[in-house]
Amino acid sequence: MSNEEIRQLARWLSEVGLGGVELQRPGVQLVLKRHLESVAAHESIDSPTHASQVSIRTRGLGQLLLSHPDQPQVLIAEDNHVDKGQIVALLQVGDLLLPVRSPQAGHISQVLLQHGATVGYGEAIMQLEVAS
Amino acid sequence: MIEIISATALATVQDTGRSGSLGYGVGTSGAMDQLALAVGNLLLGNPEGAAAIEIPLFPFEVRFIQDCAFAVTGAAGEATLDGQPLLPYWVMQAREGQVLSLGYPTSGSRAYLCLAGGIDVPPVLGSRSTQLRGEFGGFEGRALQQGDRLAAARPGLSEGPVDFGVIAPSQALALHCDGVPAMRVLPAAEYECFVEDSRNAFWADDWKITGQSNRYGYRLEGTPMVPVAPIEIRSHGIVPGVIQVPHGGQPIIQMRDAQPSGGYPKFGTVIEADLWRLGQAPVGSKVRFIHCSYPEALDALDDNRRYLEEVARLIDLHRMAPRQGH
Repeated sequence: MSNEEIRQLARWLSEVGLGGVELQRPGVQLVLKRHLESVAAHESIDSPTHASQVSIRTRGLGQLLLSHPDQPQVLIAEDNHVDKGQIVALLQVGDLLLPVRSPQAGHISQVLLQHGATVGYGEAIMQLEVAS
Repeated sequence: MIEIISATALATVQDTGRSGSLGYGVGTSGAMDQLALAVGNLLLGNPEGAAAIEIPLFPFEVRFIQDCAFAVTGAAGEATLDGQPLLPYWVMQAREGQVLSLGYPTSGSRAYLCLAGGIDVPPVLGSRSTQLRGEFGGFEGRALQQGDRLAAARPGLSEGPVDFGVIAPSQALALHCDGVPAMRVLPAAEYECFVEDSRNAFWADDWKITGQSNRYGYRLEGTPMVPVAPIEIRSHGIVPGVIQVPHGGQPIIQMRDAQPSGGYPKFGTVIEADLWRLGQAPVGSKVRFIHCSYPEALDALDDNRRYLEEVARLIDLHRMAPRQGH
């Protein structure tokens, strides 16, 4: 990993307001921490006025896929019912595919991003209307 | 430990194959799609040559008799674990009692069920592959039957990550010719013994994979190939991938369970790097052949190796990432 790459990472951290990053790969361990009074939490905070609406968010960086590359149909569409733990989208990182699973059962009220969109950590992908 | 609950025939235990025994008249055997087997083993962190179950007919169902991580690679179709959808080229943790169902494929023709640590059957002549003709290797030297119980070498709850997948070789290493799946072929010893029209048609035409195609060989259907003069040759050694042309002029491609010798003229050889493509070409589908040189055949092997190395690297990185709960 070059100094330029580390500088780029630091710029990204400050741009998105994250407090730090820990990176591990074979032979490399990197910890970057910004001096901040308090670190902005990037957990999902759902609007209290819409208690029944929950955002389904990414848990990593990558390219958002709404269908599997080997399957023509989308994993889930608007107005579809989802079970808790059902795969609603995939994050592609190179040749790797990581699942985005619904945190709760409900109905998909809105798909917020397009197939192929590049996403960061914690981005809202879909709005889920919870049954309760 | 898993138990076969479907009655579908012809599923066999296969690994990378039994090399080095052709001289004793023992064929190669091994997975028809070596890339699917390799990726399944990478997903599970298995040893490189671990054995899996090759499934050519569907639906196929197994019950997990104990907890075990598994991966399904190769042909993509409707797959479920206890009714929950399972994506292609995916690794999962199965719990005791769960049922894995593989439906009819929508792409490809052979699926591979890989278990953590590999299928635990004794190696024979250095391989766990089923040698159907000799009735040894694999599980009791035969195809799997309803009620068979097979052990995984590393059952239990997985220590590595599960619930992720990879881009299939058919996407990452796609090869088509006018929209038809293609394989690269090296001309072989008797190539020049066929009339020019036949040689040209071989490269230009579509070839249909007939119903008489299996692990032993694929019979193709197309414009009959005509020799310049009748060819009589003695039996000689042959390997998987060799394209023979018997008297009727319809080519036969020798596959993994081919006998180690034959006497038909050899028109060409499907290169080693592309044999997996043929392994996934369904009966009734059409394929095309692309003329290829020896250096190009070696480059193609490098391409396969690079894809596997990249998949291995990404899986290693994923393994190091902090585990996410749901």
